Amino acid sequence: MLEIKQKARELLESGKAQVVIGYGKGPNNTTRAIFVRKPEDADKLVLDDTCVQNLALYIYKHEVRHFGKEAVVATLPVLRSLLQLASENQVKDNEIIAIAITPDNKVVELDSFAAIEEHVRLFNTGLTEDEKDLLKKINAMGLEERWAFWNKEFSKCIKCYACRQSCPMCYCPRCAAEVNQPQWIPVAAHQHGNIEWHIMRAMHLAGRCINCGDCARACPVDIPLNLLTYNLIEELNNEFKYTAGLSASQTYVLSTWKLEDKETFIR
Amino acid sequence: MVFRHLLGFSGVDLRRITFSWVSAAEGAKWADIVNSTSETIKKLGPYDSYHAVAGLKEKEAEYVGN
Repeated sequence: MLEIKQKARELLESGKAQVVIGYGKGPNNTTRAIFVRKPEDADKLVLDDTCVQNLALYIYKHEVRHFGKEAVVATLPVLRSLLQLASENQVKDNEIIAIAITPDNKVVELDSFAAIEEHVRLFNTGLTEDEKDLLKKINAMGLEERWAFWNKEFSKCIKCYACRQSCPMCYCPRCAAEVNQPQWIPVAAHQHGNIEWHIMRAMHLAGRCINCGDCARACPVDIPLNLLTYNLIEELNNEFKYTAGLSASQTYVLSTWKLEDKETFIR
Repeated sequence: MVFRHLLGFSGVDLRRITFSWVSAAEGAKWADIVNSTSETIKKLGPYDSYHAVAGLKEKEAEYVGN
């Protein structure tokens, strides 16, 4: 943690970065995102197990870009988000410095996508066994039971859109959910609209979600939204051997045709 | 494939959904697919679990007065 502070101070003092996005103390023993702009403020940075938010959410916000060159304290989901955003042309190479931790707890400075790609390869990026077990549980349910399960979960939704706001991949300036001419998605938090919203949100993350889990953590009524994205991650891995956020140059899986693609769903 | 799987995972009855690729020159294939799909759905009967949810929408429309 001390090294993170030192690294942040170094970057700010040398002028290599004008802002360091990192975790700082929030109220009630929580951590929150902080934006450090002065070298002496680098001491406010913390990094522990409570630092779970995906900070990649902030890197492309114009309010943050306005500060100048950015550096970000990067956990694995942040790095993978960066690569995914890069493959979608949302960030440029050498635009952002990532302050990352190696598996043996050393602080490294990654200033290019190539360096981030290499770093990400050191980690396991698949679903964990626990996550796979949760999926199996849902898949083992009968049709009626599964419908009832999701209906119960979605009925809690109050359409606050926190899942969308917390997601680094949801960066459209105008969300389809807010288009009202024509109104694709009902605005009111009734069951019909809730189902539509959640299926649409999940589908827009197919092949893009890097499994940071922020949607489920942001949900004020605890809908297990990450189950939907686990399912998509697993499906894309099985069908297309594809994992999002591993390379800055990979093309979007659902808009790319490959010779080895199965076409079993078409008859 | 991915969307179909997502619908299935969310508890939607996949027997009621058909995806197909039909060229403008394949009229007979189109007719076949529409016929077989509607036949399957007729056999399955009304989709009550969905109507129960869609009905809520109508009720709410009454409530807000539009």
